[in-house]
Amino acid sequence: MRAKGGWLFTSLFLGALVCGSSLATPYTVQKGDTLYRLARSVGLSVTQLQVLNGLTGVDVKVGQVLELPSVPGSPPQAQPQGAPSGPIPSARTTVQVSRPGCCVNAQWTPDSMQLSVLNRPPGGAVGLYRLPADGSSPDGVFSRAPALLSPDGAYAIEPLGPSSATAQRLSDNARAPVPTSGGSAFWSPAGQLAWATYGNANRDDWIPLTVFVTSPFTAGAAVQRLPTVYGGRLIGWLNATTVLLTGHLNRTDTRRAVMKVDVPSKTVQVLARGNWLSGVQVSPDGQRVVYRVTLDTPGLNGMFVVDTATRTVVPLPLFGSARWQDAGHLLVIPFEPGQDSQRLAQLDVMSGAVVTLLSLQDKVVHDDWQVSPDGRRAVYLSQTDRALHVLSLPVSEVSPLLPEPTQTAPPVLQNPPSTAPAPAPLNPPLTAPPPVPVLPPAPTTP
Amino acid sequence: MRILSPALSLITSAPFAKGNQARPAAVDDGPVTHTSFDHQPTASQSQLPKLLSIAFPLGLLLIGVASARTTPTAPPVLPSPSGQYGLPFAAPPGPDTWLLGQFYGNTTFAYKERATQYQYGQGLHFGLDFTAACGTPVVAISDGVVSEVDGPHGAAPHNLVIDHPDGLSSLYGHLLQKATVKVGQRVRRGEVVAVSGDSQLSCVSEPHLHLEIRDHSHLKLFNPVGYLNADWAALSLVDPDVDGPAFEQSLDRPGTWQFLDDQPPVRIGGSFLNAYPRAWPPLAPGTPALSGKR
Repeated sequence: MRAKGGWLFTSLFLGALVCGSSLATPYTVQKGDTLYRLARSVGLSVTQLQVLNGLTGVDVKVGQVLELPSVPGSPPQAQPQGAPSGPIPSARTTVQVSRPGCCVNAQWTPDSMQLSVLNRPPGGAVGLYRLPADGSSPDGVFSRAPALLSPDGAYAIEPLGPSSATAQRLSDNARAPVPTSGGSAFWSPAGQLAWATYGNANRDDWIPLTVFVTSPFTAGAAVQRLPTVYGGRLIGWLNATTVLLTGHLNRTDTRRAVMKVDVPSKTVQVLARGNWLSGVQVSPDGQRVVYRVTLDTPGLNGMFVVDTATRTVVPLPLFGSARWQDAGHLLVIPFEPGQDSQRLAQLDVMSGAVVTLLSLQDKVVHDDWQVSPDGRRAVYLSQTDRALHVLSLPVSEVSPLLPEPTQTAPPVLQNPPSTAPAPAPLNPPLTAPPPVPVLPPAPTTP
Repeated sequence: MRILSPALSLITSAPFAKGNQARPAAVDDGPVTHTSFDHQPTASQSQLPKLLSIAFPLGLLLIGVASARTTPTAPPVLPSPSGQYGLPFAAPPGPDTWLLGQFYGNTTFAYKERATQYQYGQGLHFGLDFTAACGTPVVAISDGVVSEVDGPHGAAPHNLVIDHPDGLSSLYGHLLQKATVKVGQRVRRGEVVAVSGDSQLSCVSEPHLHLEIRDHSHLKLFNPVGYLNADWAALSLVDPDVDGPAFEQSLDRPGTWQFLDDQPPVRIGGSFLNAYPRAWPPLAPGTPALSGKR
């Protein structure tokens, strides 16, 4: 299955494009268009657009008609009124961006234009490689030695040993030692590093989890030790001063919890509880967290969003694998076993409205998918060919493809399950709670 | 799904390492067992007498052929994975019933535990875990004969092995209580044979079923994923036990063993397959002693 040469790879693309050509739309070249710009506007490389249209050169003429795959919300340019010749939303647009089997766990670069993957091409060095999201370089370009990068691309950690690593600030290549392996470590937007450490226990749900935080590039900054919880994980940063954990607040608690810890005050607050918490994801603005409760008491299971300030829990009308598209929308691949294809749905967390955006005409391998920071694309590992593929996503303002009857979630405000102990702050702060950004209005019951 | 008690698994795995533990006789029957079973799966009870009149002489013939051909011993040809088995639960998967747990093979957790609880399985997780509440009924994944109830092949506190006529065995581990089926009893695919439990005996920390596919000699273990008919892509979307990278990567060959269905077989007692000199992701560190606190 692994493509050995450029020809084979090109033919795979050609096949994909030919198969998808019925989804393409005629487009009349306008003044100012270039093949490069048109290709970029629909998420293709120039080569792919040439193949699709049988072109050999890069020149296009005004009035020339080209076949363009449709990308909702991304018309190449403003259309003359009454001339609907531009691409309209029609169906999924996908581009294969890696060799089959080459890479897993792709991460978006901050500009949403490339993917960073750990790779070692034949004869090449192992390291992080950049794969353009337009599929134009499926071998990728070497970018650096293996490292853990911050989401904004400003910081990195290179592991050195079981509890030592080098932190790097990429703007000026400053380096500082940090007392962690780099495993389960997370950078905050402000350059603070949090990492999980584990103690010993004879039960997994009692394993002590202690998070440490430091600012490697602040002179004299201490390593702070946060309160220990049990049987959990460090999820990441909610904002510049708050980390998110899962686990038991107290070892004997019957249920696991989603907890936030204010780093300066070391105050722990339970946001939600449930047994078998998984799929925990923080919204881009840190205001909400999505999570699943599974195999708890029937009636308590499902997928939920909790407001990180008010601790209001809202059950979602879908159950599956979720990623944040933006602060107000989740993208969900619903858990629908036995279907020929998976689908991608968009859920408005304020209204509970759900629309199906597209059918993948494929399946995602072991939940390996990520939405780009700009919310306009998603990368997934394909079950069909084991390559990474990039989907272009309809943006929110545009009418969705394949609209289904809108399901309206009961946006019922709900406290954490009544059978669970009420979430209680550990050592409630004596003064006002840690500062949190101004909230948008919480969802309300109509 | 994790088993954090190395002592427990050392005890249960020890027979593999020593190689001197007596196995139930049925396991060693080899060709006779296989041949006599080859005709069973399609025979319902009512058809049995009629079929036996055909199958029995044919069986004898095959035993003769097999004996002649396999002297002294030829390893049986084991079936390739083709989705020929069912799932170990009758209920459909879901948030209220059961979901996947730790995958088979080169998992990130197995890398961490390679020298402890997985040391006799070449460092890999040599079964597939299903997360389920204690007491969930477990069904046979295929027709066969019970060959062990609480036998020596691990996955405490209780386990069950069913020998299938195709040369493979299924092991159901960490059962809540001793299975009520008896050694030698024939079971049908889908028949309830046990109830699931917790490897850590709490029904809170790690409630799950551990399923293994072995050869009858119990020396080789295989990835159940190819043998069981299931929508693995869907199941792995909502696996409560997997967050982040599922499989450990060697920096020398980062593309190896990164998919649910391309994991290597395990030879009991063989050398580590995942002793990577340079691995990704790095293991999380242990918690330093409190004396280091400010």
